[in-house]
Amino acid sequence: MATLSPLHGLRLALATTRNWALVGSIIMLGACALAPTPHGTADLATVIARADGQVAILDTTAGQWTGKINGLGDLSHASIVYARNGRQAFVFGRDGGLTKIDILSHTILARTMQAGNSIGGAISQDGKLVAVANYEPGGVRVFDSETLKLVADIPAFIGDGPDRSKVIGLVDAPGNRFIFTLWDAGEIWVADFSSSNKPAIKRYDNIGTNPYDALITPDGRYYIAGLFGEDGMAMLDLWHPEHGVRRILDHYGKGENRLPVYKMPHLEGWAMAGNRAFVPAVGHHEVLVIDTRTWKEVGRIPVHGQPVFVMAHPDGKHVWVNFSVPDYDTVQVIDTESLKITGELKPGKGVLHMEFSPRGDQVWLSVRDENKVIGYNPYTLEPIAELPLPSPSGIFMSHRAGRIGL
Amino acid sequence: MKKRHKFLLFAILCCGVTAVDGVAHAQNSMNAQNAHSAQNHQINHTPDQLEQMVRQDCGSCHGLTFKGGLGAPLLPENLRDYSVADLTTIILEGLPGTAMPPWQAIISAEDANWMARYLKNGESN
Repeated sequence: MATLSPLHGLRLALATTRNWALVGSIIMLGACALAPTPHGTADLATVIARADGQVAILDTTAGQWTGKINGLGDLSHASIVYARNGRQAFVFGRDGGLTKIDILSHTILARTMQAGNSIGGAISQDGKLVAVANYEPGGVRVFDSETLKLVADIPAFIGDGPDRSKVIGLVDAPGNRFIFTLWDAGEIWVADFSSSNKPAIKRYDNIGTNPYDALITPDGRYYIAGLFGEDGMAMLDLWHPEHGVRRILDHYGKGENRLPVYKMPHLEGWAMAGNRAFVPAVGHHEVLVIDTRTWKEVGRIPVHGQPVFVMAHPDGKHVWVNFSVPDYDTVQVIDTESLKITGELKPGKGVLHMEFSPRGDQVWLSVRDENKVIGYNPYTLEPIAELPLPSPSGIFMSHRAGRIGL
Repeated sequence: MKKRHKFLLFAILCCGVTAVDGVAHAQNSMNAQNAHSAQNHQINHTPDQLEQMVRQDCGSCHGLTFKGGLGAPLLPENLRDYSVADLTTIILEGLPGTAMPPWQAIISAEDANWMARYLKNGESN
């Protein structure tokens, strides 16, 4: 007999052998077929619904929500990092809530209120530590990623204290380090957890006024903080930390009147294509182009409004840009070779975030004021799915689990 | 243009009564800078639109629940020392030397006054 369908097998068993054990096992086989099949996570994403304290799980293959996880507190400006298995994720709420979730079972695994006011976090290179950047009390707290028990508390003292600075731009770096920046103090700190859970801390001072966000390059080599209070950016080369922090792009914006900045740009998602990096200008309707071999500005691209996120398509040919209020109904696509705008979308009011699928066949946009998340084919700019979600903000693909600094 | 004159007068009046440092300076430096874009956007918004703006756009720095972020907390107890007129002026003119921008290019003086009362009265809670 070449094939044996359950029904066929059942009839055969009843008719011929009267073997009840065989009948039982065939019925069990049939029941198993109805149980949910195990699912990988590589095509899943998490999306913050910030007004409802909810995270929705997006299946990018089916173009559907698979479930929602409630009870995560104040998620304005919330962000998510993934455990190294790509199944568990850590949600950093604005209210200091740190929650570990399971994106397959849609459950909360652990939750702690670790501070009064927080702004994102990072997971260590080895996956064992989760760090949270706090505004109140200013500093970084580090937790065991399994249990969410406190491992280390790093107050961000201004000078010798006791005043503390708000912390921004927290990322993980190679060598089980966390790097972060002090908004009020203008310092970059490196906390090294490679030899113990009592971190060795190195402070770099005088990096500039009001660093508002920071990023680490995808290879984990350069940590760069944007400065709100003055022109330019502060860069630390982690291959050569002995050289200290140096200023790049400090000629940018000199003597020019900048526009009122209604929304701080984001530096996460450093858009790199070949030897060029694309960053949002602060207070100008421009995207800056930087040569990453010299770290000098090599171009400025006039765009529709003040850029918030500048994200590279995984194939490097295009970067996508969204904008601050009042221009946040628009997304523009820039060709990285010609530096020309080659596409424009009007997905709706309040486009807050964009995230590409890892291979770049899809891009997902959250449209806050229209309470929806839209997936597009980034090559044709045609929508592929539109899903309702109240006040969506950050979108986080699970492949971030395997990336340094994300 | 008539409307803008009215608005300027209002902003100057606000400046006259404010006790907040730096606001007078804001008046001088920011008005000129924003005059060009003010014409396009300065319309009165509906209360629903204003509530949405306060919560979402102010909230992106000050927190959706106004408990503070990079920007200061804006709960009624934090605003005790500021009059509605002070707050209106700060919203319109921003606070120079800080990250608080002048919003007058995209909202009217009436809008800012509505927002100031909304925050002062704690209507968000």
